[in-house]
Amino acid sequence: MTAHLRTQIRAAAAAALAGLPTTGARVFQSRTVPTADADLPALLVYTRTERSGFDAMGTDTERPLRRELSLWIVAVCRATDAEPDDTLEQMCVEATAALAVNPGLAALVLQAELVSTEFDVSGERADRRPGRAGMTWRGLYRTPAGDPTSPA
Amino acid sequence: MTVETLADLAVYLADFGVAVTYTQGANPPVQFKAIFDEPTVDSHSFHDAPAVIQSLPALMARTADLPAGAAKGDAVAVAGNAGAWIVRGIYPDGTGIARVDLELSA
Repeated sequence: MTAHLRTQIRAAAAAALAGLPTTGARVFQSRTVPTADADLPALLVYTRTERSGFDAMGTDTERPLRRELSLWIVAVCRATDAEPDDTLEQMCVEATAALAVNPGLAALVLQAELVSTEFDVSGERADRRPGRAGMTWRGLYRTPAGDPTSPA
Repeated sequence: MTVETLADLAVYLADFGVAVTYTQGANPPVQFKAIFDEPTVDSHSFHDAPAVIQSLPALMARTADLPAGAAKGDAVAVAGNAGAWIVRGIYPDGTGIARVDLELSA
C-alpha cells in the first residue's frame, strides 16, 4: 500500500539530509527515544502538524486538497571546549542547503520554505554542553481529496 | 551550624573519596580527596523532541581543600578516571562541603 504523502515527504527530507558533513548518516525519522553520544551530532526529522483545505467549492473527491505540512528538523549536538551555537549554526547551513535543492523533495511538494528556527542552549549542567536547534519548514502540496498518497 | 567538623569530613573523604588533582592556571597542582560522581540522566525536553542522554560529573569536596580563588575553568584530574575535566561551577553548601560541577575539556 502506498504511504501517505506526508510519510513520503518526511522520508524524502531524511534522504536529502543523509550524508551531510557534520551529521553523516545520523539522521533519524520520528525518533522518540533519547539520543546518546554515539548518535550525535544528529538530525531528527518529524512531521508535526498539517493545515488543509479546498481551493474550490464542490463535492468531487478528485478535487485537489491543498495541504501545508509543518516539517520539523531538529539539530542536536553536544559540545566541548565551546558553546554549541556554532555547531548548531553549521548544521542549519548544511540542512538548509540540502533541503532547498533536493529533487526528491521537489517532486513531492510545490514549495518548501523555512519559516522559523528555535534554539535551545540553556546552559544545562552536563559533561558536554548540549544544544538543539529546531527548524520548522513548511511544505506546500496538493493531493486528491480522497487519496492522500499521491500528488495532485 | 553543622554537625560534622572539618576533621570529621576529612575522615569521611579519606575513607570514601578518591584522589583529586586540582590545577589552577599556572599554580602548582593541589591534591586532596573528594567523592566523584557521574550519574547518567536525560536532558530537559525541547518541545516534543526526545531528551539527550548525558552525565552530570561532579566532585563533593571540603570547601577548605579547594585552592583560594578556585573557579570555573580550573583543571581537574580524578584518580582512576581517564577524563580531562574542567570546572564548570563551584557550589559551597555552607556546611563545609562544596559541589564542584565538571565538564569534559575535549
